[in-house]
Amino acid sequence: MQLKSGWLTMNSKQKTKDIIIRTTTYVTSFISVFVLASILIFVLVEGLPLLNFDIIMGDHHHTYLPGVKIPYTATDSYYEYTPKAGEYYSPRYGVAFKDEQTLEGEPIIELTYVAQNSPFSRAIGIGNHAGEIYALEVGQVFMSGILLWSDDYFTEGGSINPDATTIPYQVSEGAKRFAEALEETFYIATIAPVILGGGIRGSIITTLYLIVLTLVIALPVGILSALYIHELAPQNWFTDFLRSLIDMLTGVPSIIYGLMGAAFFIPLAQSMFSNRIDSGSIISGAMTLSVIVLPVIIRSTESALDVVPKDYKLASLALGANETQTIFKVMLPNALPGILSASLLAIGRIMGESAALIFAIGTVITDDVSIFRQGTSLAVHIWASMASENPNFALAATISIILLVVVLSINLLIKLITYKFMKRFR
Amino acid sequence: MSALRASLLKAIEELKAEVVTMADLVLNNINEAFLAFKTNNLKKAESLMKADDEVDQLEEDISKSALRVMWKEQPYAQDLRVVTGILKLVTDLERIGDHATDIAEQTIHIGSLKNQRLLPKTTIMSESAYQMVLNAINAFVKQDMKLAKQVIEDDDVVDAQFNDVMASVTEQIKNDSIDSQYAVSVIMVAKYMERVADHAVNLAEWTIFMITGEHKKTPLF
Amino acid sequence: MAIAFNVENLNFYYEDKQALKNITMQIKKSEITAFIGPSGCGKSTFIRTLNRMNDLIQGTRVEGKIEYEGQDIYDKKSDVIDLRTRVGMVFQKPNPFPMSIYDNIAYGPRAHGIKDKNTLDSIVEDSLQKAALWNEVKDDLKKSALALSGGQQQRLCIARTLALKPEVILMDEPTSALDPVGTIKIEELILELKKEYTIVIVTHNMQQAARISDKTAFFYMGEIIEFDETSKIFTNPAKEQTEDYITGKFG
Repeated sequence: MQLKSGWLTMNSKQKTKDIIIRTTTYVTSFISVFVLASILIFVLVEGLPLLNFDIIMGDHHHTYLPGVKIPYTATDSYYEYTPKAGEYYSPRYGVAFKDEQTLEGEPIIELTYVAQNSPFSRAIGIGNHAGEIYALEVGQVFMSGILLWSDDYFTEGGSINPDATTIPYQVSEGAKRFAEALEETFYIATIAPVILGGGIRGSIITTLYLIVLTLVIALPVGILSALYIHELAPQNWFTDFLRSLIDMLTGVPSIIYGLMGAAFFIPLAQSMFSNRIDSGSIISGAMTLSVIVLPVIIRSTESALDVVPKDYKLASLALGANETQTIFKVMLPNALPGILSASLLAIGRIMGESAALIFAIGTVITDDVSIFRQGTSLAVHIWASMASENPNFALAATISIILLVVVLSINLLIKLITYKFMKRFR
Repeated sequence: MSALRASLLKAIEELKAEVVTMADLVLNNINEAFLAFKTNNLKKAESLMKADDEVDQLEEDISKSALRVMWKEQPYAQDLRVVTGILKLVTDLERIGDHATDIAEQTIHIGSLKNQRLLPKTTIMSESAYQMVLNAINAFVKQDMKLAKQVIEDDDVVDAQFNDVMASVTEQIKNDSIDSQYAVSVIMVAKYMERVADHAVNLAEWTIFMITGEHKKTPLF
Repeated sequence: MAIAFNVENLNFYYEDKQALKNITMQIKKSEITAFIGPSGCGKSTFIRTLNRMNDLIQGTRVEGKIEYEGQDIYDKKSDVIDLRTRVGMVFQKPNPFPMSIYDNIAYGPRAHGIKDKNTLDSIVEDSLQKAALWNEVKDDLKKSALALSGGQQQRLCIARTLALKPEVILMDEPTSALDPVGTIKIEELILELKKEYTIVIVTHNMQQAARISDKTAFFYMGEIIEFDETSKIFTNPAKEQTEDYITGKFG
């Protein structure tokens, strides 16, 4: 349509502009939501299947149980059992297995069923554990080292035949072959059960130690510093400068703190506990993390103190209390909800830290956690499982789920505390 | 029940008590003045001459107290009407006290002269006037509207009694049956008695103001 | 009568701004002295110099002398804690601590080292009685102070001050934040307290000053224009400025 007057032309130009802006907004918002949702879905899809109690509570490293031998079994022994799908059953020994893989992708065999009187429940230790009786349990796996001897094991006289033949078998041949081989086996000379690792218990404990230790260092220092800046220091340009500095510190990339940790806190920890630490430690990690969360705690405590009505301070001082009493009996107790909130924020930050800890502690995953030794937090564990030769997405995703759940809970907790805190002063 | 504004309530109670003290004194003085006139008691008349000083002092004291309540307590409503009513009322009381002295003065002038015809008329008039003042004061103390209205009505009676005295004096002057000194004095005494009654009416009207806020049927607020 | 405060040539500054000019006055014991004047005239600033609460504001400067019971309170050696114990203060907005009624009153004594429960119990009861609040709260002293009404909270603040057995009570517009009934209750309380304490009260309500005070000081632009018996100030002030303020010509 021919637009005659200039005024009408302006209107339709405006309209087009409007439409373009609107569409762009919608599209970009959609992309953001899509991306966020994809990340979440990816993590859940990859991680959820792996998520079970064993992973959370289990050791990272495989536990190699003592090698055992399983005694001579009569040819007519027979145990009843209906194997489930995927299981392979040996009626002679009353055991069932299935094929499995380690987190690195190597084939292993998992024990899925042991009959009550099965010889597998009366295995005899060899080597250092000779003579001890062990029961092999469901869930244990075999990775290698299986030696099977066939039926000409015993001579006619009842003694061991030195020329007895072995049944050749390797774990890589699979569970089905194992079940078949067992039917011909009279004597299992060696078999080494393994409790599979891949668990993250060590990292969970390490994370907890880190949180506690960091807070033990950072909370007193942070709270008292905030008290000083807020209450005791003269409010001049220098104090303001100090505050700006502290604010700036929150923006420093945490990897720099990591370098500081490696260069300074590791040796410091070593010299402080000279006989017990010989490299990175949870202690050095906690010191580094303290430096990272200190600005957060100081600023949050100051905010919490800001909100305490000045009236209380005036009332306390007018009653002849001195500054210290006023701060510790009136200001601080009323700032506690805010300080608690700050602690939770700090915890969130600690749990999320990875780069700094890689330098400040190290990357050795451990099952036996001590503050004097290295360890990995959950975030670092994610890094470790992705940085090795066989990146394990699934495990990384599982740990991510755990981390997300904890962080989300902390956020909800913060909101709840803030709400209750606000109610108090209304 | 604990009283709020206890100091205000106390101040007003004390003020009222002071008014009653002054009223008692004034009643006593006019009663004595009427009695002195009736009985030609020159000694009593002499003593009454100075009695008015005390009445004047009380009026000043009450005015001071009332003004103090005004600026200090900022009374409202009934309290305000009572305090301002008292301020007005005490002037009338003081005038009644003055008239007692005036009557005493005339009694001295009369000396021992008597007039048997007029004595009963002036006596009855003095009794009416006294009763009106007494009623007016009781009406104030009890804040009794009915009694106050009665005082106002009774003024007609005293007015009539006054006319009666005047008629009798006039007649006696015509007949030359009255001592001229006595005639002048008795007219003045009768007039003073009538004025006492008028002031009693004023007392009653200010009492009605305290109760209703209206003075002579006109709302003052 | 004995003198509580003797003030000589007091000048007070917030940074460069002079808030009080050449204040000279004496506050007598067992009297109620009121400070009146328009907003910003310096009356609140002055009352705060009497217990050195202005020290808390940065950049304030005091010149001149204030003596309490003969001792210069701004002397370097004087004990400000002791001063504030003997000269208590009640504020405009009731400010009880978010604690129980009991703990509020016990706060002062505890801060001064009194720990014995029996002693504290009797101090709490005594103070609440004096503040005319005991009967209303005696059944539940553990209740939060914030649950009380505004007027009750202010009486609680007065009780809290009384717990330290002060000699002087400074009140900075103590009834401004209260409703009329609450206001009257506090005024009655102040009249009662006069028997045992010296009271200085800042009020922007002239009628309040007329009702309860013995002496009144009229402040304007940092100076005392007139300081005299309350009866004189309100019936026949000497200065025209005072008269103009009292009659409402400005303010």
